[in-house]
Amino acid sequence: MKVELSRRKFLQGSVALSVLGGSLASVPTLWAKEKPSSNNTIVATLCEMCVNKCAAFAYVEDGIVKKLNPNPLFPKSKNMLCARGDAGIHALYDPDRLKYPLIRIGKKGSGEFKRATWDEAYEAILHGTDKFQGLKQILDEEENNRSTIGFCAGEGMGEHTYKQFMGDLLGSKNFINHSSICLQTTIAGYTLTLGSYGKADLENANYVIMAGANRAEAILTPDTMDMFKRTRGRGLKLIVLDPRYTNTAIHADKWLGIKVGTDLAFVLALTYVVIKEVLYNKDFVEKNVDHFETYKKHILTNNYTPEWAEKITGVDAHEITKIARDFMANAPRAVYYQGRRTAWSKQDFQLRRAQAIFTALGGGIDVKGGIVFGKKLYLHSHSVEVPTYTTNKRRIDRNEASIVGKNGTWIGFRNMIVEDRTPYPVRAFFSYKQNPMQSVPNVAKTKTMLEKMDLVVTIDTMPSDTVMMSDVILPECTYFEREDPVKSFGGTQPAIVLRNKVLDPMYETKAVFDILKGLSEKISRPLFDIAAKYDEYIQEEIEDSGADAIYEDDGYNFNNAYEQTQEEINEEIITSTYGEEAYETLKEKGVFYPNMDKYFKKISENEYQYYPEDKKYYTTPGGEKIDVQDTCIDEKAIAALKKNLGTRSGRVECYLSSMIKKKVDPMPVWRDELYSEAPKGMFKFITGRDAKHTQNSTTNNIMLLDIMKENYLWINKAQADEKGISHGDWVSVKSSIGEVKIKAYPTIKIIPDVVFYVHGFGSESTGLTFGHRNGASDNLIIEDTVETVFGSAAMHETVVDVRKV
Amino acid sequence: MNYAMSLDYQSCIDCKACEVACKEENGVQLGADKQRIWVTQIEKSIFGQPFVALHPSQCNHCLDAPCVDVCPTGSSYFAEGGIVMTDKDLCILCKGCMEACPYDARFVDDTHVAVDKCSFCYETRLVHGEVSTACQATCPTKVRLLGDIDDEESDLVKMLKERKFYVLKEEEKTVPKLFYLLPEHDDYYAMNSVDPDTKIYTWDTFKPIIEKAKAKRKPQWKKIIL
Amino acid sequence: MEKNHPINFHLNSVGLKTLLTDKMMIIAYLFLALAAFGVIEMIYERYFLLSATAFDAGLNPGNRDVANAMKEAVFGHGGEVKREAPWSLYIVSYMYMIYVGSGIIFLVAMAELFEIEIIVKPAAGFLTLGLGMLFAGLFTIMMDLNVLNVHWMLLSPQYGSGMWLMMPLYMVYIPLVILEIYLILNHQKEWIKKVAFMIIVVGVLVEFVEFYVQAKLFDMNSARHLWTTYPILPLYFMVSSFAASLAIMGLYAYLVCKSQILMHTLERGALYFVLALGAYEAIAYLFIDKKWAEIILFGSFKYYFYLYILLAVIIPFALLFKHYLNKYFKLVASLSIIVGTFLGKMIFVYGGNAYPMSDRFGVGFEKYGEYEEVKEVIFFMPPLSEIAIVIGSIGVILFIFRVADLFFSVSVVEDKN
Repeated sequence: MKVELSRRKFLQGSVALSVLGGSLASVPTLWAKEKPSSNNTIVATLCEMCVNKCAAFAYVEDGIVKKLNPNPLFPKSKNMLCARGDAGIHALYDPDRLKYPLIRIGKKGSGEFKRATWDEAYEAILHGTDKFQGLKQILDEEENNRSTIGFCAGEGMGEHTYKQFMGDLLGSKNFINHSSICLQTTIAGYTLTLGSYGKADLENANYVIMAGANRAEAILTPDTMDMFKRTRGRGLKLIVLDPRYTNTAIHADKWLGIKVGTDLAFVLALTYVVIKEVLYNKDFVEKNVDHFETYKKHILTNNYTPEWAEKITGVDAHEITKIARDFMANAPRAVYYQGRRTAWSKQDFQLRRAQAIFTALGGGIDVKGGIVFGKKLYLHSHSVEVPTYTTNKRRIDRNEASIVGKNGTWIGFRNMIVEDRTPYPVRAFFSYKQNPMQSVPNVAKTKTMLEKMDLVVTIDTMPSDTVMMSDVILPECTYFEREDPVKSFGGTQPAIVLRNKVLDPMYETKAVFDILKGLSEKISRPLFDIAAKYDEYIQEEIEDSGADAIYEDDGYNFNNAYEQTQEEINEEIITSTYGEEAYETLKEKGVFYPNMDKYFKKISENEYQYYPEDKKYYTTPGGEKIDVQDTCIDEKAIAALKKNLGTRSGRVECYLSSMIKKKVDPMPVWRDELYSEAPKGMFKFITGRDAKHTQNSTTNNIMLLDIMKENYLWINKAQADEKGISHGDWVSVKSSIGEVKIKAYPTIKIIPDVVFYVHGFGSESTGLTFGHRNGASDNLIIEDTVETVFGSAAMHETVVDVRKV
Repeated sequence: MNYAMSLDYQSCIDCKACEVACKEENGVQLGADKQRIWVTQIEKSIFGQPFVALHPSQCNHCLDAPCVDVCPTGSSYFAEGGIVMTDKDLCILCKGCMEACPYDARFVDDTHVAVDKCSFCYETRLVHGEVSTACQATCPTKVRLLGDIDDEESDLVKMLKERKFYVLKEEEKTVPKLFYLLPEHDDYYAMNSVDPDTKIYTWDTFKPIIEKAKAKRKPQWKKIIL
Repeated sequence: MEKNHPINFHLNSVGLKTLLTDKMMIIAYLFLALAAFGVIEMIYERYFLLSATAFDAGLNPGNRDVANAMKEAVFGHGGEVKREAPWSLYIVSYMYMIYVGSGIIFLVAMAELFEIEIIVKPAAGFLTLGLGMLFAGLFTIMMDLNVLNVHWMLLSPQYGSGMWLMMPLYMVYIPLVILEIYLILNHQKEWIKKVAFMIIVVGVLVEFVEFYVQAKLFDMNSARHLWTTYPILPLYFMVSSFAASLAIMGLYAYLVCKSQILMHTLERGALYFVLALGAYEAIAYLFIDKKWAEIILFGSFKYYFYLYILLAVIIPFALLFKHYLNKYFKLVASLSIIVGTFLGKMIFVYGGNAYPMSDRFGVGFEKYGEYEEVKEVIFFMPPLSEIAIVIGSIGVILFIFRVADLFFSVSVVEDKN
C-alpha cells in the first residue's frame, strides 16, 4: 500500500506544480515584485553544491523546494546553474541525510550509533561515554593544551564560524583545511610572484594556455561561461595541455597530450623561446618585473630549449616555439591559465611560479584580457572576544614542509600522528564538512589516525566515510535551511551575495552556527575551569578580578560570540556600509552591488549586462587584492612573506631570496631528481574531476548518479587492447599502498602509460544507499607523496599496475 | 505563435546541466533511459587525433510530426504554438509514436504508464508567458534559444538571420524545429560534427518550408488543457 | 463424449468435470497458467512497482521505499519498455496470431465460395481455430497496451491512425466470423452459400483492409526504414501469413480431422506460398534500406535470418515439393513453417528497431554518456513476463477452440450430405 500512497502523492505534487503557475515566474516578474501566492515562495539562495556559490532562486511550494533556477543577477555565476546546482534539491532531500545527533555505541568505524538528543550529544563530547573519552578528561590529562584537539574543515561559508570556534575560542592551533590537498601551491606561487592569485579575464583574453585545468569539467564561475562562448574561432584561442583529451580539450585549437608531471619543463621552454627571441613586453618587464636579468640568465644558461623540453614532456619542440611566439603576439591579452587544483608533482610550486612569470613577460597582468585583480566590495568583519591561553602548544606539523601556514599540511599532520612523531599527543579530532577518509591520499593512514583519537566529532549533512569513523555525529542542516554569513565577491564585476534561508531545518538538524552555540553552552564553563587549573596566566587574572568576571568578560564564555543570530550579524554588517535598502535587496534578490538597478540590464533571453564596460575593474592601480573564493592559503602569511621581500610595489618576483634559507629554489628550476617516468609496463595514475559530481560530496546524489553512475578507469585504447581489456571489463589498479577494482574505459582520449579515474567515488560508508561501494576511490591508491615547499599532496606521483580481473 | 529552438551546439561542454534541470523542473522519471533531453557524444579518431563532437538534443517539435499521425487516441497532438504535446491520460501505451519518431525523443514514463517527452517546458514556463525552457535557462554557455519563429523580431529569428543552420534527418520530411547553428569559425568542428552532405539553410531558404508545413498542419493545432 | 444432437445446431451439455479434466483443456489450462503468471508479473511491474521521479524525494523526504525506487531507477534494469526498441515480442505475437488466424478464415471463406468440399467440410473447425488465433492475438496486444486507458480508443478516436483502425476492423470482422460459424453449424446450406458469399466479399475486403492497415501501422513509422522500404508490405504480410495459415490448417487436419488427404491438399497450398515467400524475401532485400539490410543479412541478425529462411522456406520446400506420402514429412514441414514464419515476424519487428535512431547528425551513432558504449545494433531480450504471456496465448487458442468444440462440436465433420 505504500506504493499506492507514494504514487498518489506524486500525482498531487505534479498537479500542484502546474497549478502553482505564477510562482514559477520569470525574472522580470520578480523585478515587478509580484507577490507569489501564499503557499508558494521564491527565495534567493546561493548554491553550495561546490565552491562556486552560484546565485539561485529556490521555488518553494507548500514547504517543499520544487525547483532551483539560476539567479541572473550575480555577475559571477551569470545566470546559470550546472547539473550539480540543479540537483541541489537532492542534497536537501537525500534519504540518507544525517537527521539527528548520533553517539557511537559499537566499535569505532562499525557504523553502530544510537540516536541522541542534542544535549546528550554535547554531553558526550564533554564527558565521553564508556566507548570514548570526553574533552574534559582529555584536556585535564593534557594540562589544558588545547592543541591536543585537531580540527579540520572543508570549504564553505560556515568554515570561518567553525574555525573561529575551534581555533580562537577553544584555542587549538592544529587546524587543517583543504589547502594542502587543494590549490595551495598554485595560490602561493601566484601570490608570491604576482602579489595575488588574480583571475584570468577569459571574457577578453585572446590567447589562453590551459595546462591541466579543465574548465569544462571542473566548472568555475565565471571562467567556464566566459571562455566556452569564445572558443572555436570566436576570439579566444585555446591551447590545452593535458594527458587526457578532456571536454576542455575538445574546444581547444590545439591539444597537447603532455606527459604527467612535466609541465614545468614546458613552461621553462616557452620562457626560453621568449627570452631568446626577445619576444617579451620590454616596457612591462622593465617597469614591473624584478630580477628579470637574473631570471633571463638563469633560463638561458640552463639551456631550457624547446628541444630539451620535448624530450621530457613529449611535446614537439616546434610546437613549443610556435606557442611561445603566438602567446607573445597576442600579449598582453594572453594568459597562461593559473589552474585551480591540487599539486600534481613535487615541483608544483615552481611550476606555478614559472607560469606566473611567463604570463608577466607578456604584460598580461592587471590588464583587460590578462590576469586581473579586480575590486572587492567592502564588508566589515564580525569580531568576537577571543580568550587567551598560555598552555596551548604550537601546531605539530610546522616543520613538515618549508612553509607551513595556518592551514597546515594534511598529509604531514596525519602522518605525524600515525607515525607517533608528534611533540605532544593529539587526542581529539573535530571535522566539519570535510571527508578526509576520501579526500586525503592514503586512506589507510587516515583511518589509523582517526582510530588513534580518543574523541572524534564530526559535523556534516551526510554519513560520509569520515562520519562513520566518529564518536559523536552532529547533523548539520543543508544550505537551504540556514542563512550564512554575507559574502563579497571581488573581480572585474564585484558583488555582495547572501545565502538566505529557504526553509527551516528538517529533522533535528541545525546550522553550524547553532550547533556551536549549543556546544558553547555546554562546554564553556567546564573547559574554563580546566584552563584555570593549569593556565598560570588565567590564574593570575582570576586572582585580580575573580573567576566569574574573567569568564564572562575575557571571552572564555563562548556564548558571548553567539549572542546575535547569524541573521542579525548579517543585517548589521550590510546596513552599516550599504544601508537598509542594500539589505532588503539581498534578502529579496540575493545579490547587491552599488548601482545594480542602473547597471543591470537584460540584453537578450540569454545575455545580461552587470556593469557597463567602462565601469568594470580590469586595472586596479592600487594593487587591490582579489580574494579567491576559497581561502586556500593564509593570505596574511603570504603577505608577510612578501613584505619581508620588499615587494609591496607589486613588481613581479622572478627571484625570491627569502626562499633560500628555507631551502627552496629562489627561481623556477627543473630538477631531474624530482621527476621519474613510470617503469615499463606500469602507469602513472592521475585523478581529476567531472562536471557531474563535486569531489566526494555528491556521490550519493541520485540525480547526479542518474547522469553519471560511477567512475571508470581511462586507459589508452591501444594499451588496453594489448592487455585484452575492453569496455566495461573489471580491472584491478594497484599501487604500493592499495588496490581497487573498477570498470575500464579504453579510449583514445588519454596518452599511453597514464591511467585516470574521477575522484570521489567508492565510498565505504554503509549509510549511503546509492554511494556505498559504487565505483572506486582514488585515495585508496594515491601514495601520500608531498611536495616539500608547502607540504601539499602531490597527487600525480603514483605509479600503478593495471590488470584485468 | 510557432515555437522553435536554436542550438549553438559548438558551445556545449557536456556538463549535463540541461538534463538535470529538465528532470527537476518537469518531475521526469529517474533513469538513464528516461530523458526528455540529452547531450550525446561522438568519439572518433581523425588521423590519430582524438575528436569528440557533443550534440545536445531533444524533441524536434516537428511541424509535420509522424508521431502525431500514428497516435490512435490523440494522446500525441499538435498544440497551439506548434508544440507537439502528449496527453498522458489518453495514452494507451501502443508505443507507435516512439516507433514513428526518427529522433528517439520519446520514452515510457513508468509512473504514468504513458509516453513522455519534451514539451518545451510548456506547463512550467510557456503557459505563463515565459519564452524560455529550463534547459536554456540553466545552461552555462547558453547553447539553446527558444523563440517564436512567427515573430520576425524575436531573438530567435534574429539569430537565424545571422547564422546558417541545419536540421536533423531532413530526409524524414518531418520539418523539425531544432535549428542547429553551424559553427561559423571552426570549419573542422563544423565538418566533423555533421554529415558534410547535410543541407545548410539560411532563414530565407528555410522559412518557406516552415510555412508550407505550418499551412498543412495548423488546422490540427489544439488548445492545450492542463 | 455425448452429444444431444449430433447433427443439428444444439448446445451440448458439458459437465464441469469434462471442462476440467478434458485432455486438451488441461493443456490449454497449462498454457493459460503460464500466461496468468506473465500477466501477474506484468501487472506488478507496470502498475505496482514503485518508480521514482525527480519530485519523489522532496514529496517523501527520507522515505525508504522512495530511496529504493530511486536506486532501482538509476542502477536497475531500466523499466519495461526500452526507448530504442518499443515494439517487442508482444507485437510479434499479435501480428502472427492475427494474420495467421485471419488467413485461415480467409482461405476457408474462399473454399466455401469455390465449393472446395474437402475444406468446406471441416470449415467450422477451421474458422473456430482462426477465431481462436484472433483472440490470442488480441489478448497479447491488450497485455502490451495500458488497458486502463484503452477506452480512449472509443472516446477519442483518431481515424487516420493505423493503430486506431484496428479497432473498427475487428469489431466488424469478428462478429462476421462468428456469424459464419453459426451458420455452418446450423446447416443452413443455402444461407451458408449466400452468407459465405457475403462474407467473402466483406471478408476479402476486410482482409485486404486488414493487411493494408497492418502495413500502414508499420509504414507510418517513417524513420524505421526496414518497414517503409519493404516493397508492397501488405502482400508480404499476406504471403507469409497464408503459408503459416495453411501449415496450421495442415496440422489441424492431421491432429483433429486425422485426414491425410486434407492435410495433403493443404500442404500443397502451403508449398506455393512458401515458394512465394522465398521469392518475395529474395526480391525484397534488393529494395530494403541497406542500413537495415546489412544488419539483418550480414550483421548480428544474420543467423536468425538464415534460420528463418531455412525453417520457413527451405525445409518445407524440401519436404513438400515431391509428393511424399509420408505424413511425418508433412508434419515436420508444417511445424517448420509455423516456427519459421514466427521467426520471420520477429526479425521483421526487431529488425525494424535494430538500426539505432541515434545517428542524428550523419556522423555516426551517438552515445548518451561518456562511459556508455556506442550501440550499433539495438536488441533487447524481452522480459520473462512477456515471453510467458506470448507462449501462454496459445492457451487462448486451445481454450476457445476446445470450449467451442465441446459445446458446439465445431470439429465434427459431418458426411451426411
